[in-house]
Amino acid sequence: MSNKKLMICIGAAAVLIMASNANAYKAIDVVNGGSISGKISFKGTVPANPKLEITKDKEICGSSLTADYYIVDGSGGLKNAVVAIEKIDQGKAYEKKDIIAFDNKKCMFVPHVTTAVKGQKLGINNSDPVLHNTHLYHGKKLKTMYNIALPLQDRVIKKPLRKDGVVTVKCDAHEWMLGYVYVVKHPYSVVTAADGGFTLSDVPAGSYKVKVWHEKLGETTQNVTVVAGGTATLNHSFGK
Amino acid sequence: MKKYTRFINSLSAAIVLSLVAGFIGVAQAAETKAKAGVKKGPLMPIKVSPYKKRPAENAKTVAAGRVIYENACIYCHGIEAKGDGPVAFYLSRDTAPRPRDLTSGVFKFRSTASGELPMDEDIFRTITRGVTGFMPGFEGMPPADRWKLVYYIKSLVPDFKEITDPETIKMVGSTIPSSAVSIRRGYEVYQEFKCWECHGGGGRGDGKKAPDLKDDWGFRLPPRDLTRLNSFKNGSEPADLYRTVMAGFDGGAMPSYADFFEGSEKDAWHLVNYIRSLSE
Repeated sequence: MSNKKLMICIGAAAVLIMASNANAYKAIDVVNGGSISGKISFKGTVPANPKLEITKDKEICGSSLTADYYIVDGSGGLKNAVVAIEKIDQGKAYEKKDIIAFDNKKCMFVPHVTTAVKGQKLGINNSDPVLHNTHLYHGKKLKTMYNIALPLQDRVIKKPLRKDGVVTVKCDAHEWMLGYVYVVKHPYSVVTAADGGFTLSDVPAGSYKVKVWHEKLGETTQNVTVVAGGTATLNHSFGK
Repeated sequence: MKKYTRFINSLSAAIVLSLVAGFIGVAQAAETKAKAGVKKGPLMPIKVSPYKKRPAENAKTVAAGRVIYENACIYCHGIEAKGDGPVAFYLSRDTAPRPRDLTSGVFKFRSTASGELPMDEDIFRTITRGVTGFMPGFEGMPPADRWKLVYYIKSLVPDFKEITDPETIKMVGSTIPSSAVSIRRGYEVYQEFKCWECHGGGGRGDGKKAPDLKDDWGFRLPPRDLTRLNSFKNGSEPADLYRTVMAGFDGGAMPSYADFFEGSEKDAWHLVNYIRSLSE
């Protein structure tokens, strides 16, 4: 191999290594960090949650279920929206081995929406005495990520989340079942509480693009600047 | 113009081939093969290739694979391999499976865990045997050419470059000779693991959940009638059935049971015997 070729190879390898490092999240001690907090709400007339047609296993699922797409409290607070920093290369540490609980209960997914860090495992359980299958789909094109049979009650199956992005969860056996796992490359993501409130803590000082996502209402991005020791506010209203 | 006529000729040939070979030939071939006990190397791969003479995987063999693809596969799988070739529509209008979108990265026939990419040998096996009732087998194609096709298909999915070590499904134990006791245990597993909810109590594919099952593309995908062994898309040998139950069919509704059989793989072999007994 000539010297020139060797140099090109080394150069290419260096670029590759740099590129792969650029993707990886690095855990650091966050000193002088701040937090992002606020409220995600819905203004206007809240769309009615559709009645779900229960066609089988009524003795377990019940004869009437209502979808849990829009959960808005008296003050307009929107539950189950996701707030996540779009891109952050380093920040607080997280437990890679944490298992993200995901249950099949009375033919609904509990929780309906959750967040996870890429590489963490989903701990899938079936609380019902019927066959469920937890079928994960990735991205907008809904490509199968994996599809696990859950024939027996209360046995947690742990499966890794290998890709980031919006993961849609369905059950082929009960077509009305629907859930979401919002997977990001870092630990700065949160699902809003019943009052629409959320907090992202220990964020290193700096400027970030922060995404607000809701399964039916879409998504929006806001610029947020975090100062040391401070709390940056992010409020967003879906609807009118 | 001449080229166009040639294309149309190949097209009609392909339709005839798909219909005749696909619906009758392959099923019969599978039957004869099963009877003759011909084995094509291990079905449960596989860190080491059982096919010694496979060509190297490089830009040249990928390019050669593309040429073969454009001669043999585009009619169904389409020029861009998105499963939308001119013949695709005639194969199944309203129900699955359509020819697979080979760029989707979702592979149905695997010996790897659900969600993982297939092993090279899995793709090779599918090309070789075809998919009973749908895709003709290409056993007549020289193995080296089939390998080149494998390489071309892999080149369509960038994940193959990133994930080189998919989680494989281990074949624990081996076929248990069929007996009344084994079939009885298999029946119990069929009940316990609720196979009947989709495949029906008698295995005829008429379980209570059967009517609503769809594939990733939204096409209706009825569960297999388990009383028709020769119609099994992923093969009907015990090892084939073991693989199907364990790995599931990604892109379809059949989920993976690998996690639930962990530690009790013998039960999977009993289940295989029960399923095979339904066709007797």
